[in-house]
Amino acid sequence: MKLFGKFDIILYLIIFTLLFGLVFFRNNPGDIKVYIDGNLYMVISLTKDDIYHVEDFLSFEVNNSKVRVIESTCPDKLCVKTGWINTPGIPIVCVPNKTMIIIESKDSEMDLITQ
Amino acid sequence: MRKTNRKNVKQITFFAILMFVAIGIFVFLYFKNKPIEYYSRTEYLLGTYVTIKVASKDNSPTYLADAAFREIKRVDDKYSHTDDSIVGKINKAGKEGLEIDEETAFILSSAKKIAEITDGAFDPTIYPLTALWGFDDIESEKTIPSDTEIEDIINKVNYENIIFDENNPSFVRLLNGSEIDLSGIAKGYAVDSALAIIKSLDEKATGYIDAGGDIGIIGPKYGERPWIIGIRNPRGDSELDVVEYIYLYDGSVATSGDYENYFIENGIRYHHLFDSETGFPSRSGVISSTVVSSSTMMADAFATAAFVLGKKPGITFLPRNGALAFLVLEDFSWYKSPGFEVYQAQ
Repeated sequence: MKLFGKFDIILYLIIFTLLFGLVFFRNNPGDIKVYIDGNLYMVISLTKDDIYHVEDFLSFEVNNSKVRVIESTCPDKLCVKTGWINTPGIPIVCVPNKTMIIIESKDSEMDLITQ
Repeated sequence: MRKTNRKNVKQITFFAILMFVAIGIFVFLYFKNKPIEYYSRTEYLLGTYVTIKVASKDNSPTYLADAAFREIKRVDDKYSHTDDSIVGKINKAGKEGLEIDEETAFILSSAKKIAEITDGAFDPTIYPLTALWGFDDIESEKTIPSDTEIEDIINKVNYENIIFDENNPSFVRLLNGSEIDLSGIAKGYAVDSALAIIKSLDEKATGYIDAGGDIGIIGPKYGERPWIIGIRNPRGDSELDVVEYIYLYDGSVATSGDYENYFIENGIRYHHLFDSETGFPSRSGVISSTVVSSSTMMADAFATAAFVLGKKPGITFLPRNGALAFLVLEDFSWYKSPGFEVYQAQ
């Protein structure tokens, strides 16, 4: 029995390709990141349409590469009023709940706004 | 049979070692190439949302952000417009005068200097006028005052009434009933001061501080790329709507616009940026003014001044003071200080 047969080479190639992929394509640009108190809480692909819950105080919806907060326990509901966002780097912020939802920015896109 | 087995064991061991080495190399590469993770936090301070985004190779970014937020909170508490704050005390002392600390003397003299440079377009004594129109607080009722009311107040608005003692630069008097307000300029100062704190703790830290659109850069993105900053469309439906991008590796930018705080009566927009000569919201034809400078305090004050002065007789004072402006005018045309293009290329 030969270990280093034809199919083994293919197998190794697949493993190596996967590992390479892991190293060089880690920064998938289409991610939504949720931070609580500055710490990363969850990462969701922008393509996965669904309703997500942040603990028991906030819920947000992902639809067609856009995000919006649909429910929050905060008093002013500024995060809900922000509405849909689809620009990378510009977050929805809920200060009372110390929560920030942001679409991970690609290098060529805007980081912040002066107003 | 036994021979084959031994050969198999040898081969399996060989490939197992090979696999471990390969995985080891990849794990090493993975962590070595791992980009610096930015830490970001937003708090409500200085009457706006303040976001600090920071990363460092040598220090905990949480530690740097904590230190910066503490500093911003300190400045916010110190210069907010209350009766028992230092600003309240200076106003109360009036022409009697008051001995003030070094920091307050620095901020107040900077404010006066900017007022001189801009010929009063930025004026730290404008507060009574702002309050008369109801722009001192979100809760205040906003109305158009009568001409006599404006006339009474406008005589008190003059930065020349701020007098520093010739022999003692930390002794200040306010003549002719003038009142000062430093909350505006303190916002930029707080950002500058927090930037200095981060830099003193970690020279190589990168990131930015954004206090409601007054932005100070800690260092380039990942240490090598500029931060891409959108200038808000003054008539856009959403704050995400931008008219232009600028690219900053360092320095500061601030914007003043008539969309921030205003009311509309009989189809006329009354905003919070006043012309100290007329006592009315400035009608210079500018609806948004963005200024890039080395200091956030300067950028903020110059943005206000440029908004009030408009295109003519020229905001020529800006380049001479190390600041460049980008104005959006009523007809949606733009004006850029010569040389502003340097911030528009990556």
